[in-house]
Amino acid sequence: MMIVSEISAKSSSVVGGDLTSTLGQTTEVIEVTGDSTPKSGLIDAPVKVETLSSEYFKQQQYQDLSQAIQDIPGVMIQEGSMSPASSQALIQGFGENSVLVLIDGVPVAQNSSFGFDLSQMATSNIERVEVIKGAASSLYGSQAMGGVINIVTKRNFEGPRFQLEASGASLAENDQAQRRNIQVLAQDRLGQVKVKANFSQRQQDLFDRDSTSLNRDGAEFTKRQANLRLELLIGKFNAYIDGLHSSNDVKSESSRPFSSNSFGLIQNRTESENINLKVGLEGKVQNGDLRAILNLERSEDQLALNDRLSTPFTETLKNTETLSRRLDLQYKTTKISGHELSAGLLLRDNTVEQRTLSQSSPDMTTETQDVPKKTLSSYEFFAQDTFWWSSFEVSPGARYQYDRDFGSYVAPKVNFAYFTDIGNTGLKSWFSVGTGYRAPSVKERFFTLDHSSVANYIVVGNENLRPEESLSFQLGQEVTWSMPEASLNLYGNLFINRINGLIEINQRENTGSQTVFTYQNFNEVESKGLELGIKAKYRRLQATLNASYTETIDQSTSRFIANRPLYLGMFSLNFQVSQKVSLISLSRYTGNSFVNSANDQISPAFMTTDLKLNFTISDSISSFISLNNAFNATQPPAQDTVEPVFDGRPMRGREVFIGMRLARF
Amino acid sequence: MNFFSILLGSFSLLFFLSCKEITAPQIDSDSNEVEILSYLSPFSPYIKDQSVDFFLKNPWYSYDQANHIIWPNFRVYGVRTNNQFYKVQFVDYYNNQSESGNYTVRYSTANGSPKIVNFSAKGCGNAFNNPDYEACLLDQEVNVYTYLNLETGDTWNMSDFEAEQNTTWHLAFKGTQVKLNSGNKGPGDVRLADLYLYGGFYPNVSASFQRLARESFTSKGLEFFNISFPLARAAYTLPSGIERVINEDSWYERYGIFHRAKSTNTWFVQTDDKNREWRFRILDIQEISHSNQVTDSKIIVGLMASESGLPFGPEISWSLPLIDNSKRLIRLCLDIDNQSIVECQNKNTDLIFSALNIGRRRVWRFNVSHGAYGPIPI
Repeated sequence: MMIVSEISAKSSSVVGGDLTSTLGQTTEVIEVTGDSTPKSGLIDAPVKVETLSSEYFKQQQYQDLSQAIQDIPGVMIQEGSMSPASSQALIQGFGENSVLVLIDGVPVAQNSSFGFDLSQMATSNIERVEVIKGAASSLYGSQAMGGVINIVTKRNFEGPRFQLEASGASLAENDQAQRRNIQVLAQDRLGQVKVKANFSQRQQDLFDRDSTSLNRDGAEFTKRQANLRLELLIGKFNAYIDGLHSSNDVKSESSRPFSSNSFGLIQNRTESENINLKVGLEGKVQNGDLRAILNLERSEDQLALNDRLSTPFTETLKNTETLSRRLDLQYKTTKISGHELSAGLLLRDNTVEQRTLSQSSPDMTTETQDVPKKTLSSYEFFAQDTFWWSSFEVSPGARYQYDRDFGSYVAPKVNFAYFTDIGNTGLKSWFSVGTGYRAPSVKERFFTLDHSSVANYIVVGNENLRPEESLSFQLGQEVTWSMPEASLNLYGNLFINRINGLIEINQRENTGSQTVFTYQNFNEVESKGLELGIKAKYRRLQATLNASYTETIDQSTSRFIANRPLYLGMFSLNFQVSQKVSLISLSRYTGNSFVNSANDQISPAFMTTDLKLNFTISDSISSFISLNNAFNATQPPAQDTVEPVFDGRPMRGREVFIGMRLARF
Repeated sequence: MNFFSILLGSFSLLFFLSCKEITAPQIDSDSNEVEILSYLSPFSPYIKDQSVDFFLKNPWYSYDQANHIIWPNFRVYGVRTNNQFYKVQFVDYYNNQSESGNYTVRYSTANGSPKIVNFSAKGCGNAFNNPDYEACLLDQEVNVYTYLNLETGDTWNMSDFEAEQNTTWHLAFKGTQVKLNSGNKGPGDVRLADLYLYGGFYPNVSASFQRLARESFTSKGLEFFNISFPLARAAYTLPSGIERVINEDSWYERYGIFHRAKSTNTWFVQTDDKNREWRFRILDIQEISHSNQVTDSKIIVGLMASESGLPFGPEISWSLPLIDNSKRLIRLCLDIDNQSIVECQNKNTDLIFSALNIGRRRVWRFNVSHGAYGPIPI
């Protein structure tokens, strides 16, 4: 069950609509109102930007970003390679480390040492999310080889506002695997200071679908996130402090061999805590916008792995601490002689330390330092121009990066866009070329993470990695046709991304009964494919169809990179029954994929279908109910086995999800 | 249509035409045959004069240090004792409660069906799982081997001293240690041979614990055990304490000051002529004594030849040159193919006989140059 309450003095303008895409200055659907703060989104970027709005999240009953982001063609979600119950995005075949995540335009290093977990971001605090695919724009970190995801948080300070939402889910067959969510958002002014507070908590119970095995199917987790933002207008400048605290406690139970003929039960606990503090100053200077942000991010992870429940002590406790410091300066001019110039500087360093406490008997404890305190530092400088040449908008730019361990690199990029209207048909075309460069992360170089208790494998870092370099081409066309009661939007994008030295996890020799993986550079990896989107609307019926074909191939072996389905699809039908009731059917298709570099094991294709009902009770109360995974597409229950299991199908079967939202202004 | 649309359309068409598929790989119908080829099968039965720590050279398990698990590698051994042959495989080291030192052994006679025997042979364990490890090592009741008789399947405990006098046991176990009844461990004649080991368990030399574990939790090596192998043709290695294939205690015995031939033992001897196989035995030892001392000795050997795998021919009697026991050291290099004495550097040397006389003590030895196997009682 869920209860939401939103209390505010007055109603604000409608924010956004649904799944939309915008290009450059032709922003047409997303409308952020009542906020005088400088823009922190990508909408103004002269490259193809696709967005999802908070209204869309509401319609689709999404609780966190990982559920929503895969509704953008060519974007898929995978469980993090190093952490259960975490989600990371794959864009055009590249992911986790090749996708740059920003919060309000500021890069996020990580919210745990395992990478940025999209499922940590509650939808209640998100105004919209924007995605740029490929390495097209100079404005963002060169890490953005696969693309950029920018999370724009809610910042509507028109008046006091309070919103409460609660929801819960349970498997249809039994009462196992319950999920409970609560999200609270409050905004007000205290004198001249604008204050926003947000809290969310999502929980899931441990569950098991097959009692004959020791191995449990689903992890228990509690994800909490709290955000406090204070904003004050000082002269022409908007100053703010923004603190985001995230925690993620995951507990799973599984089995592993205790001898050569029997399995034993072990527990795996992961506790992650992240504090992200931003102090910023934004405002008009001369002929443009200046933005200066100081960002501190601290993460601490405790991993208790392979913990035998039969012993009173914890066998292995791994502690990882990271501290990231960033100074981000950006200046963007308004038009000067037809040119719009942007330039920026990013200074950053990351400090990491990893220790392992091992105990094999009650009185014997060993502490080893896996990664002594290490600091990696780099700085980046970018410049980009945007101007019109005939009917073309052209955005050339370059990004210079210096990394203390790997030296200098310049990544040039250029983007062309063409606009025309024929009658009531709008045409937009784009072509972009961009290069990218990414030095191996701390995690890839140094960390060792034992997943034997979760999926019977260990991932170890590789100090001999070299940086990735990429070249990305995007060619797209969008056609929009509108009539008074109907509209049609067709969208197609062809892409080719080449990454030299792509860093991916690959299996190496075994040193135990688990499979051992390490990071390695693939000489040349190419992802190419096609994304298609159709959105049709006729009166109260709206249909959306997204499909993508992506092949990601290691050119040296002509084999597919593991865990990349060739085909992805999404079909959504939304029928507005009345002003108060809407029905939604949403199906997602994930094609089969190879799960290893030898290309001899396959994760089968699957399709999930969710049936949703939204009901508005009054201006301030609404409720929703859905039958998720209606056709029960699941992987087989987890067995006690020494084989690594890689099956991308859901663990959770058919479930009933119900919630309520109270919103007042 | 603008330029971009034409480009997009053209490329899209090309993409559709070149779309790939993800399909399960074809399984080679001959894969079983390929698997069999990956067994190591030391088929030559001939061995050199060298005793080895058999289980150190041919271990029955690999230790998974990360998980502290002894994974049997399902190696199949041949056991030869009293001219009887067995196949033996160690399939488990744990009972169902994951307690170590609990063996499951699969064995059979040459043509018999597999039998399973379970027994405990914990000994003292180790310092990690036995808090009284040091004291246990001194405990004669606990720190003992468990002895196995392959003919009856019986197991029992006894002291090392008792074992040294006992011929009824064949193999003995204590923790991961295994010993056999021969050489300096017991009065028996047990010999072990490494028949085969699935090479897939040791890709790139080091153990693939993943594969070992997979086998442990499925058929436990039964398919390897069932591979047929001519047990009599296996290379049974020398046990510790026995240095020569034609070991002295097998070809003669002493009575008083004289030597007597054990003519019921025979050996197969490899010579430099690889197309020929020889059976070798000591037919007789003739000695002349004077003043309670043996002055001269004559050794008469019996030889039977087999050409290119054909049946052995009639036995030839060959008298070796007279041994003058007044000399300190006599060395005779024998060319069996030609029944002649040759220079020891000669490549035709097949056996080297040496007689060392130190006072009244006489030491006789046969060393093999190319290899031999035996003794086989006739």
